[in-house]
Amino acid sequence: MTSPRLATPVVRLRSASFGYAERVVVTGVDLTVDAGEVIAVLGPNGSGKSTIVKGILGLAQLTSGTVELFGEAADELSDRTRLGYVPQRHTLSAAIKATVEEIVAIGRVPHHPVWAPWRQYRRSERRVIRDAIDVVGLGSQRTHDVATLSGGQQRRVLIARALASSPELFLLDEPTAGVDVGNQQVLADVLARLVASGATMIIVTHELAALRDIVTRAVVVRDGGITYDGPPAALSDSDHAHDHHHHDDDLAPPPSHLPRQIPTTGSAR
Amino acid sequence: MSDLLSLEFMRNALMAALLVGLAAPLVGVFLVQRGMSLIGDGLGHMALAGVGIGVATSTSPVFVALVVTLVAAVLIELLRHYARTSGDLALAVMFYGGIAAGVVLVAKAPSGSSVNLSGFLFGAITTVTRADLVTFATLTLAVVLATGLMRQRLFAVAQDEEYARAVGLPVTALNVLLAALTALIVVVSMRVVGLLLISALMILPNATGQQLGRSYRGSLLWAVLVGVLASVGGVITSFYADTPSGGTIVLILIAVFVVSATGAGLHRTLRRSRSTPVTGHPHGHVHWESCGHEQVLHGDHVDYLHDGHRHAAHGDHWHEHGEHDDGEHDDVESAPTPTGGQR
Repeated sequence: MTSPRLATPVVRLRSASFGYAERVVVTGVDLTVDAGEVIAVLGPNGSGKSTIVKGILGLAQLTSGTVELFGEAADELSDRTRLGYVPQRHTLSAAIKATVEEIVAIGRVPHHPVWAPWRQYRRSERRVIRDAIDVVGLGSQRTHDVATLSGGQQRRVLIARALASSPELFLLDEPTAGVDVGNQQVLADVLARLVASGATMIIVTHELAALRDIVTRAVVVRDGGITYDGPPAALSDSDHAHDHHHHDDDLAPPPSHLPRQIPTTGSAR
Repeated sequence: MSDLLSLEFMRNALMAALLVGLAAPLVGVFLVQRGMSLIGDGLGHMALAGVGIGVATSTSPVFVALVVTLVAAVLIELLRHYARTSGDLALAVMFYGGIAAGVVLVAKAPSGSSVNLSGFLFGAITTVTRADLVTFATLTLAVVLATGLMRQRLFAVAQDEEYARAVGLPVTALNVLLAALTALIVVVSMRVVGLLLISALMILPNATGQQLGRSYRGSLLWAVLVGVLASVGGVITSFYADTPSGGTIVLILIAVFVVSATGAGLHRTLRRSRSTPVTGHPHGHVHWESCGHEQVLHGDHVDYLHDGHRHAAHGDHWHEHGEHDDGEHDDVESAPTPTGGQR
């Protein structure tokens, strides 16, 4: 993380501000993410941590500053399947029956040209979907209706959907929220598995504790700005991870002997 | 049956019913998925305005209805996209305006044109002509082709619009396409079930499909089968029972739905009472290829050696395989024991 950067960063935000229709939620954020990093984005509800992820994805509007993905301007990124988005969902839409396989297959859809939808039936395509389902441990439920799965299992379906699109960067919005402790551990194991295979991740979360083993760097967002960027070890769970359960007082600044890395320019890190 | 097929207008009617029964559920499934089951009704109202304009200006009512409905459908979708907050009221204004304008225009039709308002509202399948049939067949073919090509994309957008946007699918364009397809179905179904019952043909077969299928694909196939059988069956029934075709088709659809829902409910109850769920001990770890636990190939799955016993994945729980089991999948189930230290 402190070694000199050789490759192009996966994400680079330069004094980026994001918002939705007239309302700016995040102001002047600088953030650089290198390949292989696993970043936990922490902070109280409404601080703007999800908005940063949505801004990177182009789902929140960039009002000033720049966003670069894989070295090119984000809005010029032609292949958006390089981003594996796992949205915050407590349950999947269940208006219509759909099997685990059918939902995960959505991750492959952008890979098929419009005029050749039959390519989805290729053996290699089926294989990618099957593998993604196996990685999240739902192999024996591939033909089950997703509505019959538990909340934690549905999260794993969403992770598999992102994985199936073969992304280089995973962006996960509260993957463990609303899931009991046992299933949080299962989800953490699934993420650890992706990290072991070399994935770069940005995880918006309240529960740093469950993800301690995989997170290489923590970013704390407060009132639409980054107030801490450094090793997760410097943060105690009670301070930050479960912040939202307590009163909303200001974060204590990190101890001065620990690196307080708030890049003021894009190349500070 | 042969007496029925010997009549030219009945042959046309049956063919039209077959086409509509096939295409309507294919489009309807996406509307159900997006929670917009009633949008077809609104577009039906708009189509009546088109019929009215067509009659008043002595142009083909079906053609004008097609244009008006297409424009309205695309407008609605753009409205939904750009003005989320006021969309609901705007739809109400459009739809009531549409049906009111249609009724007034048809009533004021130039003398000499014999327009049957109730034919458009409730269906007049026996008035389908050869020329109509060619138009319907062309439109139906276009709808079937478009849904066939775009099925995966439309499914992705209807399932999770935000995700679809994030992976770069043209969400707004796909929604506009779905709106246009819905408009086509509305116009094609106008003669068969009537403008007031159009939604039924798009939605009800899918309601039944949801009871009978186990997957998205399976449910949709059932829906198409039900749509075709009910619309063709409805036309035949209406011929012999001397009832209006549209109402007959919809009543058949509802009867099929009630039977299938009851049957599916009974089936679920029976299955639940036969099998009781089984689980191994609480387990906070997903086994996979290289998690460190020794793997044992076991029939169609892989077991993991774990604290001296074997685990087999079965959904969100792990089956405990005893040391001397004979390879059956869920033969040996230990009582849940609070074992820790899985990592």
